Amino acid sequence: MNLLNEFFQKERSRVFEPDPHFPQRVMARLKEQAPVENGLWETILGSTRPVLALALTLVFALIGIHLWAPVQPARGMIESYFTSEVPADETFLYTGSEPAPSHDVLEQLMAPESDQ
Amino acid sequence: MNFDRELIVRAQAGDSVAQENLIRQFSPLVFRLISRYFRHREDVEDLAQEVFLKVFARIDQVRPDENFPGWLARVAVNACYDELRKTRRRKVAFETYGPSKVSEPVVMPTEPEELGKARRALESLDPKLRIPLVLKEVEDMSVEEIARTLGLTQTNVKVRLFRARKKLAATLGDLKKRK
Repeated sequence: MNLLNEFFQKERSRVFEPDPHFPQRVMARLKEQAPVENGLWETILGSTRPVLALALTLVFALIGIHLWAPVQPARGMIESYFTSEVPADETFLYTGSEPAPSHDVLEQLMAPESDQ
Repeated sequence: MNFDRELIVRAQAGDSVAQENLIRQFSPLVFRLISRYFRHREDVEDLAQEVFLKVFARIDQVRPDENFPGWLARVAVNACYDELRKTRRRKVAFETYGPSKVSEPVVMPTEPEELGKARRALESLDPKLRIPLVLKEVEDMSVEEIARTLGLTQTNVKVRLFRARKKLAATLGDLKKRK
C-alpha cells in the first residue's frame, strides 16, 4: 500500500492549468452554438404554424358542413334520376312499392263479381 | 470558495461578460478535477470546454443560493465518468476485435516503473470505483462530499471505496507475483 500512497501523493501535484485564452475559446464555442439552436427552434416554430392553421381550417370546415348540410338527403340519387323520366304507374318497378290502385280500376275489378 | 453570486444571475440573463468571468474563475477547479482522470492536456482542455458548454446550457437550473462550485464539480465529474466509460468501451472493443498484436502499455517517460504499475492498476478499475477512490485519495474529499458530488448515498460511496481498494490491492499483488 506504500506504493499506492506514494502514487496518490504524486498524483496530487499533477494538475493542468488553463491557459489565459481558455475562457475566450469557450465563449467562441458558446456563440457558435447559440445561432444554431435559435435557427432550429425558428425552423420548428415556422413549420408548425402553417400546419396548425391548416388543421384549424379543416376542423372549422367540417363543423360548418356538419351544421348546415342535412344529415339525410330528402331523395336518394336513384329516385331523383328517375323522377323526371318514369311515369307514376311504373315507379313500383324500380322502388318495389306498388302504387294504390285508382278508383276506376277498383270499379272494374269489382264489377264482374257483382254481375255474377 | 468566494465568488460574486450576481455573476450567476447575470449569466442566466445571457450576459456574456458574466459568463466569461465565471469561466475564468472556475476553470482551474474544472481543470484540476479532470486532470485526475486524464493524462493528456488536449483531453483535459476538450473535456473542460464540454463541461462549460453543459453548464451554460443548464445555467437556468442553478438557484442563486445553491452551492455553485459543488454543482459545477458534479457536472465535471459526471462528464469525466461518461468519457471514461466511452474510453473503456472503445478499449474493450479494440482488445476484442482489433489486431492480434497489442502494443505494450504506455509508460510515461519520467515515471518510475513501480508508479507506472500503480497507475495502470488504477486505470484498469471500473470508472464507478475509480472516480470515488481518486476523489477520496487525491482530491482529499470526505465521504459526504463524494456522495453529494456523485449523487450517491454515503453507504454506497463507502462500499465502492472498499471494493476499489480491494481490487487495486489484488491487481498490484498479481503484478508482484508475476514479477
